[in-house]
Amino acid sequence: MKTKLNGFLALLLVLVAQISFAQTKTITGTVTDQDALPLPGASVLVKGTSNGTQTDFDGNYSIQASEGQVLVFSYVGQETQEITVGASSTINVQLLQSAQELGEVVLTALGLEKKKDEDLSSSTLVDTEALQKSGETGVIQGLAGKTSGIQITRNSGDPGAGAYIQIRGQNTITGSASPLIVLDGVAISNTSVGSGVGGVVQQSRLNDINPEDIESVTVLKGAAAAAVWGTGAANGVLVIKTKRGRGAGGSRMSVNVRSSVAFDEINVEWDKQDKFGQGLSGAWAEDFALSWGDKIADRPGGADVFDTSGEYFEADSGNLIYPITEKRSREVFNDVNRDQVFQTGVTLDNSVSIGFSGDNSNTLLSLSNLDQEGIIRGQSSYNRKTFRLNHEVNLTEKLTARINTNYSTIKSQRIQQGSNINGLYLGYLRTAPDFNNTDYKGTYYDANGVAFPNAHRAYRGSVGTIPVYNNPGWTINEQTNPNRVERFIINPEIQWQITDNMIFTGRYGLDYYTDVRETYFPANSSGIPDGNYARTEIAEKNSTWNFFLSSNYDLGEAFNLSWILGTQFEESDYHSIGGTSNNFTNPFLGDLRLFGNADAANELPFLFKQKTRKNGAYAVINAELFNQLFVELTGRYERPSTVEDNVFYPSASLGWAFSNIIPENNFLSFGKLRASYGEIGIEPQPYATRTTFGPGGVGSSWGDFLAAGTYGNPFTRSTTLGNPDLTIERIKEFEVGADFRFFNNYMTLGFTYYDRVTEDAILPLDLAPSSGFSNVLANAAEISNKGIEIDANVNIFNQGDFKWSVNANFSRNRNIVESLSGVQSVFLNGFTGASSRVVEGEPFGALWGGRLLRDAEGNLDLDANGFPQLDPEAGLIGDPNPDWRGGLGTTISWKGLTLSALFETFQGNEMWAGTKGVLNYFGISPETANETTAPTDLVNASGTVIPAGTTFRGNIGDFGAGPVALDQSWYLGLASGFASSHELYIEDASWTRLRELSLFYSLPTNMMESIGFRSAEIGVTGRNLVLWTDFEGVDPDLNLTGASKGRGLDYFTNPGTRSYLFTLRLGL
Amino acid sequence: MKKIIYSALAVSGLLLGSCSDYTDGLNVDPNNFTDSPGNLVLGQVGLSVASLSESQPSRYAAIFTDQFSGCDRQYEQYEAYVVTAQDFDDSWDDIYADGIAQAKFVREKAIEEGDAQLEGAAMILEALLFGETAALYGNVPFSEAGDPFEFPNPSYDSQTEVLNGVQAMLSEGINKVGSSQVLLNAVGVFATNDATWAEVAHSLKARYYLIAGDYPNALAEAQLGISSPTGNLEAFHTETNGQENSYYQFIVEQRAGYLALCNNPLLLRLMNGTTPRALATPGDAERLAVYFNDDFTEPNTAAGGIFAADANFPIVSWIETKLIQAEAAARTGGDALTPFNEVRAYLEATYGGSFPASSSSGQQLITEILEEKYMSLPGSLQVFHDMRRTDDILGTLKGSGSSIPQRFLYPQVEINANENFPGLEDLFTPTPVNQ
Repeated sequence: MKTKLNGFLALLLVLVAQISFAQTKTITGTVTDQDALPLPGASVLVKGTSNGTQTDFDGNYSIQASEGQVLVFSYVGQETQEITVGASSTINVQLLQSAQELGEVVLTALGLEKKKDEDLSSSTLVDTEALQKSGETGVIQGLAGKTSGIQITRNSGDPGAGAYIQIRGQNTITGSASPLIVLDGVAISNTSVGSGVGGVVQQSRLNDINPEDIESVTVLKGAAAAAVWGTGAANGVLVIKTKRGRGAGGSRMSVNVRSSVAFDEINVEWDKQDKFGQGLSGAWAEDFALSWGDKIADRPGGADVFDTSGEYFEADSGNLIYPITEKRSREVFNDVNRDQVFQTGVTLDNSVSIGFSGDNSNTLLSLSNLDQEGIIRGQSSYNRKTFRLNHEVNLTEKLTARINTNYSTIKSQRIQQGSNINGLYLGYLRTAPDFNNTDYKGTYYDANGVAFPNAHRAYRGSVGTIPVYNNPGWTINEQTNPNRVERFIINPEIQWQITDNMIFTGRYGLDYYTDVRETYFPANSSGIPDGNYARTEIAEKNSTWNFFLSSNYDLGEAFNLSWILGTQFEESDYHSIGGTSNNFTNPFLGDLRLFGNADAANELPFLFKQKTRKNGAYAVINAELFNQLFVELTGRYERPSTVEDNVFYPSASLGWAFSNIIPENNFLSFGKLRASYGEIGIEPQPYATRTTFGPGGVGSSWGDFLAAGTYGNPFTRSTTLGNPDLTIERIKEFEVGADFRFFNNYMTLGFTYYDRVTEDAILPLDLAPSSGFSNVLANAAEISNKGIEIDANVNIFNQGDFKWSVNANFSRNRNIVESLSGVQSVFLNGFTGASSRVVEGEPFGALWGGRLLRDAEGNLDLDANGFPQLDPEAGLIGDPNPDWRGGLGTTISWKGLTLSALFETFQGNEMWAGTKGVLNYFGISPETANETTAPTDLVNASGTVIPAGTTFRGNIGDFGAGPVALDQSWYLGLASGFASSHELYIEDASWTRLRELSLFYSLPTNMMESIGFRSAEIGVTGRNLVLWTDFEGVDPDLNLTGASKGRGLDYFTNPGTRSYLFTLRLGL
Repeated sequence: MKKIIYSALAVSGLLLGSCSDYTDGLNVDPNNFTDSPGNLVLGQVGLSVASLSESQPSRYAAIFTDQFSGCDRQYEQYEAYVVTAQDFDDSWDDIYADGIAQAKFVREKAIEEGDAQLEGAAMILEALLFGETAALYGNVPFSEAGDPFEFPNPSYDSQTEVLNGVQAMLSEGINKVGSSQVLLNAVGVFATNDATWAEVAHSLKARYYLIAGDYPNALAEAQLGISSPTGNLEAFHTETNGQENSYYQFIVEQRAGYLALCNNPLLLRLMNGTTPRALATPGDAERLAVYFNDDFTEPNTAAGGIFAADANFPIVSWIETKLIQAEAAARTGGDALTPFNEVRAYLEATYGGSFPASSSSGQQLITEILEEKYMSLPGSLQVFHDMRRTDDILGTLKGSGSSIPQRFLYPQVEINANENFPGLEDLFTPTPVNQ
């Protein structure tokens, strides 16, 4: 008996011993994806331990484990698998693509991928396919309407026109308004230089990138997400990742070709009346500015009577044009004049990309050529060529190197626009309907027969050498505004797997571009009798070094910790050099553009230099507890060169995926609550800490001035006091939100509420001039942004061949200027009359201008004739910020066909309709060409009575004191766009539009195989097809003042476009 | 593992520590100087003086004293003596920030460089600016002005104190400039002629004694002042853009029709005879053509006119000095007729026609002197000072009010930004020297 027990025990011992001392062996294998392609970088962990590794470029791995242990295979975007180690030493695994949408993966601020379910910020991923299907020529415009919290407004419909991106709201008055753009982990420039109320429409540098090269775009809206970037991330971050080379369809190489042709036309245009001719008070007058002349239909008809005895104009076309003594002709030229200027624009966009996936490397080579002839004839065009080479190589098992390079070259011709007598729309719209603009250039012969070549004629100067406003034909053909950009972006990166769970990453980024611009006005351009030429050469270089260590630990099943520790060096070097030449000595330049063709006093050089640096160290700690609690802490210690001390930016985020603890059910598949707090900043403008000296001069606000340059260049100490205590503007944001998925992942819903405040915002503070200075730049303002963002996606139907999904987003932001420390308002952009300003207590960018006189109850204080009067004090007149914005998109696919549509809406924003006011003054707008019969005696604005039964040109209005006649005296008086009654022209600019509508067809694979292609897709897209808005004359989604912070002003802004695009994609 | 973490931290620490090297010293402006020699800035003070004398303040004065009429938009309001604090913002700023503050800087630099002459010239111009400001606005910042670090909210000194301070500054300036000529400082702003700083300063002393009502001192200083018409301190003008006469720029280029003769101003009436002069002057007919255009709609901005593009503008002149001397003498029982008739003879030589000498005495003589001054100094602030000091002796009052404006209003910028702002005074409240 004893022996048996002993034996049994011994056996047990041996068994136990065998188990405890079971040999660990080497397990090897290959991990592949759903296409049976090797999956490099997949994680292989021994469950319950800290033992882990990653697969190499061929998907191979090798790990020490013992029988009975469980190996966990995982890869972002693929379904995780767990395999128990058995007898075999080889375990091959195929990881299938995750059943959920790929939108599950977002990029963090450092450009690293993260599962959206674990992400604690309000970041949203933009669907790149939708971005590329939109066919927009630039990345920025393609983002419109696709996600909550982001507002994109194009400068105009000109080819190459840039846009401004606003994430949530405006945070600063004097600082940069652009979000940070991170491309492949490195910050690049999105500078836009030179946006004002006149001049040309400028580009935005982000549009230099070929949209086809982009793999994903993540929008980081909150402070917590962006805190690792510190200063510069205050306006949000766009994290962009470019594609890596890969094979396709079992082959190592893939070739993708995309070719598209688009037709652009103006989507909203001003109507011009065609009933009344040039002149005033019902009488025709040659060369007169306004179109309040005679009624064209009442003219005798036939040819005009000319005075051929004296001066005349011989046009380049051969036509001889004489002064008119009697205007008999009933011809109107509105259509002729329109066709002179506008056309259907054609854009050709071709790109080819070759991807190659080798044994140890993958490569992407991509080329594109975009050629855009815009809607404006003449010297208006945009051409962009890009070249990209992305190469990633596995140098050793533990060392990976990657280099992404991009070269973009842009050539563009722009047209003068806006508040500009040499601008297109101003001259074009104001031209009287009975004036023919076709002959705009020729030779003028005066009464003595003396010839003046290179003469210019328009409706305000029909026989002469130089008119008051440009003829649109002259603007688009004779004036040139070329621009040439060369841009290089180089991002090498090294990744070193130091140990199984520690990786060192080193990145360098170089973004260098040169931007050469010229403006040329030949002699006899309006206001420039002797010509003007200017050239600016801008060069900007941004270089960044970024090194970080990242690590990941599984401490038991319930606790996972990862941290990142890094340091960063950034340098930004900008300079702009150029000159202007005024009053050419030899006015016949032809194609020559040079200096030296004017008096020394009329040639002015300029030079501006700016260099800043930043150095930061940051840490990110992520913890996951019990598979449901997530914590993230980040900190950044930074030293910008523009500030005297170090700055610290913290952030803390907390999330609870509560759905992980509730039992599985068909209603709620996933739910997460999140809250975060973060701080980021904006650095003060450089060089503001010391008071400067420079050439002086004194002038009054009435325009008379005594210039330093003529008086021996005396210097003055600046009246802006330098402020050595200037420090960063700090933005603090608190955010709460939730992410849900319902009905087995058929519906996703994300919700965020944020409350953000900018403290110490910088603004110029008034000083008492008796102190010796007029103002000082100080950290003295406070701005707040509060809002909500909602994103939802529903897969209504997903059965077999038929899929139907709907996505929607909603944003609402309240952007208030809380305090300006006593300064009443700060001008952002606009005119002396109507402007967009920051006003204490009011929404950011509020519209400011002249108001109508009102009584104590707020009713209009009318004059004796029943007409409104002007309030002597200017004030707030409108708010260009929308109350809410939204997007609604849907995609239906059946077999190979995909139909998608995107609606976008802006509600509650206002705009100053400056163009309309001025066109009323000029008698061009159809409203002023109505003929009304007075039903009773009516008084007009001058007090004259129009007897009952008289027909007059104008309308009947009623301001509260009874009907009055709105005739010439009204439109030339208070209703004139030039009067100080800007309040009259504040209009609701809410809009809803069908932003995109596209139909694509992927040819079936069996058909493809017979042709020899891997895939082919054809499609047709419409952009901006339908617009519903009350705002007249121009698309309200444009901004006269471009990418500046001033908004909401329309004044002869170049028109916006609608496009029809045909695309062909081929894959080999 | 731990070793790696520690070394990583150490490396980061090292990097951060040495990193102030990476960012230090970059915030120095490469586009602008942060210092300047004193003599370069003196020209800016000169421009501020010129602007004070012939730009917006001068235009207000000309309308308030009915030398010209305000005929369009805001200028119609000024014609009716309707002004707001905001209307005086940019003039005040030009005087203090562009003028007085720069003059103080020049003085500091001159002391550093040991250049007494430069220091004196700056003091004289600074005194001119303070003197005019006190005369126009009453109580103004003086002792605390121009020092934003010690006095960010300068308190307002009494007008008398300021005028006394101005006299002291001028005296000290005279000691420092010796016999130097104005053109020595290559200021460029002033016409190159025989003007000397000392004479200009004495004329200024006479001017400010006159404003304060100290006639004996005014007489004494006037006799030491500008001794010939070639010794005027004049703003230099040519037809070059940015160098033209300010009245020309305003009337022809910037705001045509705002400043004209639409309400038949007193200056026009006196000169064309519709209002009889205290001292009959046939030569006024010749002068008329120089002052006004052919159809008498606006001042003469054509070549040869008083406000031609290249017409220099007198800031401190021989005529003014002599007329101060004459008035002061008339009030103190001295010889007024000699200086007065010197001026008359000079006018006759300048314009042709007949400018008979005067032989009056007492109040009649004083009226004649002031009338001549009114007519010979078009657009001058001194005329505005004279009318307020003499209770509108020439009857320049227009419109339906009962008083001519007695001052310039304090500007809105001071109301908003100066904690020690003493409160707005009414336009028709006389300044202390005239009470």
